[in-house]
Amino acid sequence: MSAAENQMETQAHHEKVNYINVRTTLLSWLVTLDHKRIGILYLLTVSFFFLIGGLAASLVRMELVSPKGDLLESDTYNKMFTTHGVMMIFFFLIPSIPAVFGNFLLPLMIGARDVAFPRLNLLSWYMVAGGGLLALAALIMGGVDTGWTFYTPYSSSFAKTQVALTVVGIFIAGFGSIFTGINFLVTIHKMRAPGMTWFRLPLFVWAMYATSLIMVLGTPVVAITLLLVAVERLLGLGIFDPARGGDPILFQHLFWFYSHPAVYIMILPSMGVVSEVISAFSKRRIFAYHFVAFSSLAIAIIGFLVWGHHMFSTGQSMYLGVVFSFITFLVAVPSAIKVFNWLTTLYKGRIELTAPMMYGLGFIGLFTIGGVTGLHLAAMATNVHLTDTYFVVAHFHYVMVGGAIMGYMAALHFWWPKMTGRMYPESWAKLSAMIIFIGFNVTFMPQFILGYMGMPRRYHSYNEEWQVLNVLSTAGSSVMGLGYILPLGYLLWSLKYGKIAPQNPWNARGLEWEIVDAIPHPHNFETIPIVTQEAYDYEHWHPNKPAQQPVIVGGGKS
Amino acid sequence: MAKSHSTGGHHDAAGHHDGGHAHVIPSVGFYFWTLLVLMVLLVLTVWAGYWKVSVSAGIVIALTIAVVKAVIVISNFMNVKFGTKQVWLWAGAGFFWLIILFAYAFADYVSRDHWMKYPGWEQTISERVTSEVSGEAKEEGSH
Amino acid sequence: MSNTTQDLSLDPHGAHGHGAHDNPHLGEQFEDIAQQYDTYTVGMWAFIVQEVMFFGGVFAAYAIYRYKYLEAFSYAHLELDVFWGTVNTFVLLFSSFTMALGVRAAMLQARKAQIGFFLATILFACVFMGVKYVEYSAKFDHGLIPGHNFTLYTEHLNEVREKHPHVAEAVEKNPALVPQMELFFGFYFAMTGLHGLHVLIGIIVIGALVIRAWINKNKPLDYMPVEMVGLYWHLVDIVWIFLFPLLYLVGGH
Repeated sequence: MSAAENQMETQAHHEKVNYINVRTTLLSWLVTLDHKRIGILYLLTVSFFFLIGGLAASLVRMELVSPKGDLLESDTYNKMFTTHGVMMIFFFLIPSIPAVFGNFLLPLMIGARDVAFPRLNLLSWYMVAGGGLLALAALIMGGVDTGWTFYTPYSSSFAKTQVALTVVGIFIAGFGSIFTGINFLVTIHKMRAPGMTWFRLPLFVWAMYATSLIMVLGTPVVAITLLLVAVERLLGLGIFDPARGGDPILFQHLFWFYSHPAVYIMILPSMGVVSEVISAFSKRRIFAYHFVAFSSLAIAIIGFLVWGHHMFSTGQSMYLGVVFSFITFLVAVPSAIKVFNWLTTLYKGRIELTAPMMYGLGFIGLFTIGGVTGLHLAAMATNVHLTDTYFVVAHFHYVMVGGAIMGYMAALHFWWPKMTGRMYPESWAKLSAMIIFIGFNVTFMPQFILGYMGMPRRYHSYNEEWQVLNVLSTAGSSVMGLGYILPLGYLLWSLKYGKIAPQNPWNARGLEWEIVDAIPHPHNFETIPIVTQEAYDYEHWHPNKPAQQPVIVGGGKS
Repeated sequence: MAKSHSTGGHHDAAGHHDGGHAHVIPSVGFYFWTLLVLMVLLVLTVWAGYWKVSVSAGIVIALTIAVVKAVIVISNFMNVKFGTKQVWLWAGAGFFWLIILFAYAFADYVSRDHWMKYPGWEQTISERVTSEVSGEAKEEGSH
Repeated sequence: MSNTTQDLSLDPHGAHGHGAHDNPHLGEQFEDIAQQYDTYTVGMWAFIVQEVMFFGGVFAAYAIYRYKYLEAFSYAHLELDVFWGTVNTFVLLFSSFTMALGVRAAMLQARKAQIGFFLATILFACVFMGVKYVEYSAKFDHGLIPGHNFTLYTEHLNEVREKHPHVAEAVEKNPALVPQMELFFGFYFAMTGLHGLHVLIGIIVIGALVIRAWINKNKPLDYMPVEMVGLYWHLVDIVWIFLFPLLYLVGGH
């Protein structure tokens, strides 16, 4: 396409009213009630917090190049890994896919004009962003050194750092997350287009439903718990202080009641994304739709029954430990169902190795490793050996980074054309997907071995015989860092120079591809569609024929 | 997703909001009787607080009355009685989910020390630790 | 509540004009008022679910300690005043009643009745807070403030001996009970404080609805937010229904 043509098309493209060009002032973004714009606001916010968390992580990895703690003081090191954990978990992973893509896509996918409560939606964003800034302020005012888990009594009675401020920041962001959850639940229940029955919903929507359930049922408990920690610090209560009759293990019960299911807040949305991506790029109907849908719910519900596996070595009742251990093994069942179904979808599919597909396939492999090593930790006996070692660190990074962030990157590339109206440069994207995959494995695979050898987490110095593997891990992390910086560059580049995206660049199925404009209109749909089929109708797909323009006759709203 | 050719059609999201909304408006008397029953239960629960029963029996009595009061408030004042099935579901969901938290937490505290009573575990962990530590100290001292 | 938004009201296609929206209180994202009503109701109930879990966390912690420190908690709760607790329960139940009548009035578009019942509800809520003030200041005077001034069972044990000799005796025999009793008052302040905060928020929100009904004299009453605030207020009542016996009554007198 010549430059002139490109420009002409650009103009034609931009003449059409869409959610981006409908208003352009900064104020119009800050007071917007449009779910798509709020999604973009979240994208910018979580990217910023990801950057902060990533910088802290790279300082941690640099310190660990040498066995002596010579780069950072032990206190500074503690603050760095805490910053990494707090930023990544509370302000990146938890809001990442639900708040960015859930917001952007949910109404588009179910055929609604907006989420149920647009004002509440905007408020949620202010709460998450504000809470994150408070936590950041705490970092600037001296930082926190408790670890992201804020274990008592250290956090409540002893730590001299900015625990209260950080906790208040997380509390506020937590309520932002609760409100997002409420909004999504109600939207999915009440805002579906005519004919969009539960079993015609895209699997991403099912995943968001399960995620929202956890947000609404779990987050309040951690909110009250962290509030109690803050109150204990400020007013001197002794609820979690053993010196005054309190029980620190009770804190862990309350904390993990949310924070274990929170792991599923991070991974379930990614599973939803992968279901979409795998189906779209193998041009096959997802295998056993009902199983994939219900396994999301099963993971969300069973996820609430397993939190004690974080506490096997704390003095929790051993009988209860057995129960927790057994139910933890059960979580593997719905997870495995998903993996099997994705693989079966790929079988005899017309696989296109685009960048989102590469991230999606990466997710399947890495998540499986993360899940299977989770079983080692679920068994009580091996758990005692592996508790608080790098094995645990490697395990949850395989799930959180290899799983959740891979899914996030897949989603970012897959829906980038819909969000911005531009195509990202495919070859660069594939390159960065490869770099991230390789860098990730080089970073975290050695940590399994280190952990098995007994290297404890959260120390800034270690035995000399562990140096080789640590250097390897740090080298891998720099490769991975490069892989994350590349998309920042080429995605920004594509905003101006990328190819203009057609309405449905992937020939994918689903309302957001087939009916919504290339860049969605502020109202999403001209008329509310009437849905007659499920979202994975690839039976009649043909490679040389673009998806037929769907005929919409009639509609709810006139 | 191909679209059907049906025209118009009321926006009835998969039949999930029941169209014509028949609003039940309870009478003043209904609310008044509800209040009266709640007041009777309040007197009952205060009175029961002064019964000479064991603490655990007292807790059971007080909680039973509280649950009855809460159910009355939810069904009558909050109009769940007249609500859709989905509202019933939501009204119960939070309380049901709390059971998980309570059940697990209590299971821990009730059974935490139990296994130590088996042969070989007569001492509590803290006693074992202290005796082992002091034992080591003695050994070192003898060197 | 009209959810008309800046972005959504811009409609070049005219496919989404205001013709379909006869009701000024219908949000743009909804098809009809029935859908909006259902959505608001389910949304409010989801919020109540999260409130139940929020209070549930601290109730669970309280329950655990009540189990662990049965004796100390039974002694400590004797310092709470059952009379004021009963008065407050009465007041709050009655405010729930006036709230229900206010919501009913709004359903019937009876503006003056709604405003009257809501003002009564606010009055009861203020009485509740007043009683709480009386109770809290009594705790300050008696040295029952955990973490700062918890001296009743140490320096002023004689005061305890006058009213509850068996408590003073038990504390003298086993001083380890004192920190456990301090824990009870920690929970007392945390739980009633959190509940009181909800009452305060309730007062503000109900007040806002009164002002709204007052100002919009010429428009039909917007009934939905009224019902939603009603649900919230009943929830505050329910929390107290559990707090009152668990803190004031259980443990014998």
